[in-house]
Amino acid sequence: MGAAANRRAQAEAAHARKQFALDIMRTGIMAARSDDELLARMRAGGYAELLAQASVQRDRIFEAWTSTGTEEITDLVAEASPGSAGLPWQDWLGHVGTHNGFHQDAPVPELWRVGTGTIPTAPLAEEFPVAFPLLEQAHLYLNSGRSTPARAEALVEMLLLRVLSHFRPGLVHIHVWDFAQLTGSLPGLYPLAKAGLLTAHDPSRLDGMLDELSEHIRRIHKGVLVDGHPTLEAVTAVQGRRTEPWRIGVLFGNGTPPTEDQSQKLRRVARNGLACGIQLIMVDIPVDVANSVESIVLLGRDQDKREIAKGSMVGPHGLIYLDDPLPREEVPKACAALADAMIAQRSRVRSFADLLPASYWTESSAVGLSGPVGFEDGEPVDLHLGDSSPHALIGGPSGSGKTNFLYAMLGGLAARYNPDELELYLLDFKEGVSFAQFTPGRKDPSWMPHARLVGVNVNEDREFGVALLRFLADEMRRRADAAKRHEVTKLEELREEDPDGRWPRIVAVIDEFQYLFAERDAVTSQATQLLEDVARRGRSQGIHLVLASQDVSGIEAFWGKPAIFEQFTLRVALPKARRVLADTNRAAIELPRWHAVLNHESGVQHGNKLAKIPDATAKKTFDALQLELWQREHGQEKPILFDGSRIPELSAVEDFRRLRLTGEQPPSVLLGQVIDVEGSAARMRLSAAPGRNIAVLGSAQQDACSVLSAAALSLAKQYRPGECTFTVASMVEATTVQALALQGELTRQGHVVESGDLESIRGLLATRAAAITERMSGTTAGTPAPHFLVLYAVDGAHTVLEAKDPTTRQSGVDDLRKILKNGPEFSTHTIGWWRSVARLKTSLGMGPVDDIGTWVAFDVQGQDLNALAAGQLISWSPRVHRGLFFDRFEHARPEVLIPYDTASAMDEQKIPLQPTDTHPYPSHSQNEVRW
Amino acid sequence: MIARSAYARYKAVTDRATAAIENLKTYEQEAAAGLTEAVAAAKAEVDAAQQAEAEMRDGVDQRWTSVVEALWGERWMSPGTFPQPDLTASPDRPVAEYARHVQRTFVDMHESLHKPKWGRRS
Repeated sequence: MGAAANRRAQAEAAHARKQFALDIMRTGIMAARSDDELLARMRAGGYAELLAQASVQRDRIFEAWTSTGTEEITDLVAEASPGSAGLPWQDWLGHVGTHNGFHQDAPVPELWRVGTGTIPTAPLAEEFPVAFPLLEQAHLYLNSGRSTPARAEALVEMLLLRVLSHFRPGLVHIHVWDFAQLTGSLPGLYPLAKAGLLTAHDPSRLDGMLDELSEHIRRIHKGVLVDGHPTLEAVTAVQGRRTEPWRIGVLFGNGTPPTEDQSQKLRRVARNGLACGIQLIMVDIPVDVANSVESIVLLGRDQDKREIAKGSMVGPHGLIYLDDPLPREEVPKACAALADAMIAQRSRVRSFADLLPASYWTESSAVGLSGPVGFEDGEPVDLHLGDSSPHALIGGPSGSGKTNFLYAMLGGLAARYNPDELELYLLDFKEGVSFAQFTPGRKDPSWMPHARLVGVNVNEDREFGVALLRFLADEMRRRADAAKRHEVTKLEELREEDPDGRWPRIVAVIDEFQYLFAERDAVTSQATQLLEDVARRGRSQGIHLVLASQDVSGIEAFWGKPAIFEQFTLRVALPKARRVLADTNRAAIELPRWHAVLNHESGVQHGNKLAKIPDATAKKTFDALQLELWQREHGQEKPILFDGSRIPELSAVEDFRRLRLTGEQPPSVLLGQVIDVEGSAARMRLSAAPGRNIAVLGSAQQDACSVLSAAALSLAKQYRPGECTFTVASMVEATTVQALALQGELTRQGHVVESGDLESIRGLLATRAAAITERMSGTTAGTPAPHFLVLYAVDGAHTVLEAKDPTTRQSGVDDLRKILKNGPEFSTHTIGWWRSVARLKTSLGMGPVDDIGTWVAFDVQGQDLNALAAGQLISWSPRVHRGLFFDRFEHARPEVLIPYDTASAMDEQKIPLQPTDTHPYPSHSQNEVRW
Repeated sequence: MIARSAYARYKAVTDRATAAIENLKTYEQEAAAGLTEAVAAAKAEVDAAQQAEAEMRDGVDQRWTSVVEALWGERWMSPGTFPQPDLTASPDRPVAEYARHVQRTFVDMHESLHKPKWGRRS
């Protein structure tokens, strides 16, 4: 019986023990530790170790939190909530913030403190700081719950003041809507209203506030979040500064849900706002706005009279002890200080220097170009060129500040993007030489390192505009080909695929571009075609056109083709500009001086942004910037300068300098400069083939002589002395000087030169013709040595040449025709000047004009040349110092030619230009002409 | 790689506390479920032990009554009081062993009463 009794007692004890363990788990390990009944049973049953074991298990489960949780949060908040974001109010309230909203200077606070937290059910209920994300990270929902609306308002006030006090005034705008009252909520913040930093919305019109925020979202999406940037924060990171303020919409409700329409608007703002820097703080508004919302529910006071709350940042088991509200009397004072600072900032006079970034050349143009061009209320107003606004149209009458605007724009961009990110091609049709600053000058040797081409005084050389557009079209194709090779379509993607490649964005500015389309001619039609091509396809290849004009309204090539003007989404209207903006948009009419309307939305009213443009053309503005940038990038090549008023010097021309004794056949003849981006020479190849003669036509003596000299001098560089012969003959007194100067230079170079004049010409031609006849008849064998006849005013010798030789019945004209007709195939080429087309025709006789394969015509009407250009209709009116160049072997249509200044090329030995006698340069015996 | 925001990191840490609390709750529930079974088994053992004790007592009681009756004629012998359980007995030895011992003693007792005794005819 004893054994049975013992056994029963033993079973009973085991049962009771297990029951105790079960009761611990049922009560919860944490609760069991303070449960009196369980503790009494524990003591009675000796179960202490059971509770201890359970506690060990619990500690193990909590280890991830208890070991470092509170320390981690404390460190995190210290880092993410600097200054007013995390410190007690005594440290910041009343101070005006200086943060510029850009995280490279100092991080933008990510978390904003509301109080202290604890996890009451954790083994160690340690306290840690509680902070919530604001601004671009998450919206905030507040429920006054078991506390009062006033306490919720105090919490909102604290958070807003933390944010407002952190940043430079103007970077945070507050919008308040209160269902019940217009001025009741956040009274302490009302001093901000006078500086426009706080907008109190009509209590009866929640829609009004939501519509305004929606409008900001729409505008930012369209105008700022361009070029693939997903958020304002990303744009800020790329641009290195914040261009849009944060907007915090605070809504005080009363617990009743808004209408379905309002709820939808609210959801839309909540969904799209954060990316645009628009955040909502909703107090007692029961709307489920889905994601990106953190919440706080007030719970009233605990037994220690501390204000407590639940909050999503601390999880469902956490508890928040809210920080005390800000002292009531301090808030208006602090807000007044912020408002005063804002007003002072706004009234600052902003200068060109304010357009420039703190450090130069730090931005990437991969997705576009952005920079401020002016200021509104002291805040910078940005201009963007990129995928969404690829090209710009600028309009403003004379004196409206167009040049100044362009300088402000180009200065801002040049300071931000280095020459590998941005290239400038600048062209100015006006006589004002507005882009001359960009090139090295006599007083200022610096140039803008980004400028690759500057065209000034272009005036009538509209072909240069075409040349620029053609260059851009070629570059566009080159980029498109490269993109294709990398299997991408856009510049941005190409840069990613080819990180070592140099793919700068190109900005091509054409000022007074209406001149390009001034006539109804081939130039206009080419320009229109190219403009359409570049306007449509330049967008994806990073080529941006900026066209400026005094009056854009009558440019048919522009407005007549939607494919062109639709691409010019960026419009800039200077005071009194017509038609740049949409017809109903009258913003430019009332615009004060030195201001501009920037519109990235093709000129529609809601895209208007007003900006005051600082003086960018005064001394020590743009020029100082250029000098500084030039000093940085000294190795950069000079921009190619096309100056319509300058005559290029032959001796300085690269194509001329490059001519060498290569022995290459046929030799090149340089006649002048064509109008292209590279400033290439007008060149023809003097092959031993029929028709390879050159005729210079027209009465412009100086230009004609220049072409003859350039041709002869360029040939001279390609032969050793004695390898070829020059005959230089002037038929009129007026060109003797030029002919002698040329002879002198050729002789100085050691070439065989025979000189001629009206008296000797007949004999010279007869000798040449006879030599050719011999060649033709085969009596002379071997390769003929090249012979170049440089004849000035050939037609002046007609009378002399027309007389027939009484024995042979041959006239000098016959000899000339023979030389022209058969000379070239035996390397005898004529480079002659006829003073009119008709006179050339007289020289050529009734036969075809093929013997003149190449011609350059000055002051000759286009229709006179039709016959010489294989019958094509030539539209050309004479221009000063401009010729028309046609090589029937190479050209589809004639090109405009600028004759060289050849004086310096013949001046190397200081050859006197005045003849001392009729034969100033006696022939050297070894250079006697022999056949 | 984009660094995680302070916002995300903060929540990740407080999530650890939330997770710990949830895990503890799960642990307690699972442990309670296991213990509920163990308590039921222990209760069954208690019941079995109580029954075994009662049966043992009944057996001893019957035999004791039988012995007291058998010794009724033996006036010289006082049966004494009903024996008390010996609590020094090990609960770990099988009860049957003790029962066999009681039975053997009981049988021995009866056999000795039926043995021929001096001065008495059978």
